[in-house]
Amino acid sequence: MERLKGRRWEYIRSKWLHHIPHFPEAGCVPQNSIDEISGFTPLALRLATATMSEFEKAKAAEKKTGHYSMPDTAVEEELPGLREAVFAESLFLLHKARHVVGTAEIQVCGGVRTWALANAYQGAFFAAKATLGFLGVTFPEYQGKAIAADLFPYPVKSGDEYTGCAFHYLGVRMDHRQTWEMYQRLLGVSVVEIWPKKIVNKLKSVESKYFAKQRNDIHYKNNGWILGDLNEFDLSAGFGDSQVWDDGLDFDRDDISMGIALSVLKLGMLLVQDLEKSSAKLTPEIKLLSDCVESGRHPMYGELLLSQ
Amino acid sequence: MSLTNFVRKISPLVAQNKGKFHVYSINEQLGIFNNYYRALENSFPAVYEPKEGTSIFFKTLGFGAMINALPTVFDLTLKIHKGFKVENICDLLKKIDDFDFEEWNSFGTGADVESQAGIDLRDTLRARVEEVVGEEGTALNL
Repeated sequence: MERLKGRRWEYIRSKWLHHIPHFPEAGCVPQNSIDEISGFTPLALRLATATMSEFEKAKAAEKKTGHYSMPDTAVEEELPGLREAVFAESLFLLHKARHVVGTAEIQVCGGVRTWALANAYQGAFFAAKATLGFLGVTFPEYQGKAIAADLFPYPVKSGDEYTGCAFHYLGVRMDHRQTWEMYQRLLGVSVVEIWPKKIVNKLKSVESKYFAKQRNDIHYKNNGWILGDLNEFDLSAGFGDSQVWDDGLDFDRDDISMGIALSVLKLGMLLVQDLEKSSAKLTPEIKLLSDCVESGRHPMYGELLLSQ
Repeated sequence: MSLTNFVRKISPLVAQNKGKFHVYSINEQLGIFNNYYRALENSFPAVYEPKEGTSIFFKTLGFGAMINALPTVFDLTLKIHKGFKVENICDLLKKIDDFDFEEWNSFGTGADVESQAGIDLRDTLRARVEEVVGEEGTALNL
């Protein structure tokens, strides 16, 4: 994780303006996944092979010294089309996040709130992955093992200085907890002037296990259910209130997954809205969001999501 | 658009000792043209990548007119933003986001038409900027 270095949105934004792809229509499914980019497979093979031997060396060294040090296995390369693919995938993830958070909002309004929390968590997870992508970090897989691709891997003084991407073979498949930890790391090392500090500070400092706590309690505890809505509609006031965006997140609340979902989605949205100020390519995407709000898909958070 | 036409339009701007951009290095000159067209792509995506046919920005007339307007775009962007990054140019071009580039498709061909198209664009841009910053201009240290 410490390989993810500091970055400024100002420079990332500038670089993105060279790589926002053409979208045939708003909200469309990306044409290529990241691991289908030409040159990715040979690079991944090279990285995985080198890494395996380095892992073996590290294990051998551990037997002698009793200390295991993770091998540094980064390669730096610019794969043509990678930045465009990462952007397209991140934008699509944000659309997915918006959709799923919308379903949670509709469920909350309908009084089925515990299951809404599970959906809210999944929406937040999509939004976190989207935001990781917009800040340049993504995890394509090679033979079921993740490779961390970092599009903005070193400190710069201008977006033009980003001329290579870093790739790290992780040797495992990324799980939810690791993804949240990467998200928190990136919140910690990124300077994004347009983000509210209060929300960011809370999201980056809370213990990572709390992002999924409610969802895990519902999914994996046989006797786990958060609210009294298993057989009765819960229509009490204040649940999932969007005021958390101003007041801050309280992880002890029984609607915290809604607060996380709103916050993580909104942080991702702000990045796209900011880019759209310079790129009309994203105007139809913002219009699509506006249409979704108008059609009733976001009865709780629509107004806030559209605001800038 | 032919390579000959490309050279015809670009070479006067980079000609040694007299071109508009002659004081800039080759990499900087490349950056100027690259950023200009990137900004067009971001500002006018439907014109840059039309559903059918070739973009007017890459046809002889459109390319010629856009390059004719470049010195003005460059000066205005530099004047307002003190830089020529894509976002700086986009901010300027936003002032003419209603400009009808497609109309150029009906203009016909020839140097006069190309020149007139460039003048139309340049004058529209100047007028819109003047509306925003006023006739007094911006902070130029004199």
